[in-house]
Amino acid sequence: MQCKEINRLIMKYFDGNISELEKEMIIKHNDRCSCCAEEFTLFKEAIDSLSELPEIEVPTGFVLRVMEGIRTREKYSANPKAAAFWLVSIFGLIVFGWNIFVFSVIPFVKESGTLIAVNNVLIYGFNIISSVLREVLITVSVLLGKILILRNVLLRDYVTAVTLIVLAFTGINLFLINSRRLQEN
Amino acid sequence: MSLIASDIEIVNQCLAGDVNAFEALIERYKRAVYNTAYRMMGNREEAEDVSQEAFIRMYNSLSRYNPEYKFITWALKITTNLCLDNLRKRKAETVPIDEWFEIKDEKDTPEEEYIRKESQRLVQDAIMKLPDKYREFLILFHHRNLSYQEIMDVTGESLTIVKNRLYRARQMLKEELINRKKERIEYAVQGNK
Repeated sequence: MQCKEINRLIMKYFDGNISELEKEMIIKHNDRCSCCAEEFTLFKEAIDSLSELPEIEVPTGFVLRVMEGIRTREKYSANPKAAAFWLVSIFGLIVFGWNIFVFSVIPFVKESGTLIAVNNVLIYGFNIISSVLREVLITVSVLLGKILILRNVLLRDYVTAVTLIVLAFTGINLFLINSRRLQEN
Repeated sequence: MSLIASDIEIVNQCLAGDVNAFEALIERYKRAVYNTAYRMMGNREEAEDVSQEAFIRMYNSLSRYNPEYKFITWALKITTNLCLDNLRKRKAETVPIDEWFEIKDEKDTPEEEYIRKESQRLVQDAIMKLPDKYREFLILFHHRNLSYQEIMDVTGESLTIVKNRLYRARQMLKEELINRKKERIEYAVQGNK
């Protein structure tokens, strides 16, 4: 019997699907081959100690904490998928209603002049709102850019000023120390 | 109707909107989930965090539970996935393994108890050194006593991969333990000098 074959049987042994005959084969082989016997003992020690690791107790209050977690999350988390679904469907409904209004309702109304006027007024309002929004967006971004540049300039100037002041102080100090020494001498 | 509700009955109750029904399921599986997480993470604090998160995730995805599988299989699947995620995240910072305070066995003398604790610590240290993926298989098979089929369901791997990983994992564990014992002996020898 080859050692390689025994190695396969050893793995089967730890898989737990080994026949009595195969077990016998391992034992017989191990009597003759000390190398495999040692290998087997080492394996057995390792696996046994692993499966004998004790079950530890779940901390008290675990269930309560989990239930609390479930309840708070249920309360505060709006499901993002559901929210997106509702937003898209409401938007779709608005677009759909608008199209129905413009293409199916207006043409079939005899005195459609007022309706078309209303439609135009609505479009006008929409344009105003969107232009204001656009304006705001652009102004804000430009302003932000300017503020950032201003900050950089100020920072640079500030740093230069502080450096100059510090240098001046050092210079004055050195000068004073020097003149003091001269006096002492 | 039986006195003890089956898992699927409880799941259906939860899906019908009864949050409190879930408590029974937690009660039923907290031990398995917590112990698996503990052996995967190596310390109680993280084990508790992970198992709490696992149960919350289970509750939130109950509608996706497939009754074809046992509930415990699904629970362990979520738990091990969470463990692997957390282990990947913590790779940078290493977390110490718990100091040892296992259950006492009244029959043991203090010496026996010490030896038993030491060997337990040795094994836990050794499995913590294995790559996460291999540790997962070892724990599921030899500690939680899952079958091949169940491990395939939990990990979503094929039978060949499960067999291979287990084979490799056992080899690694053996090597790791041998190294540790050697180190210990050397240490003892140095101590005696």
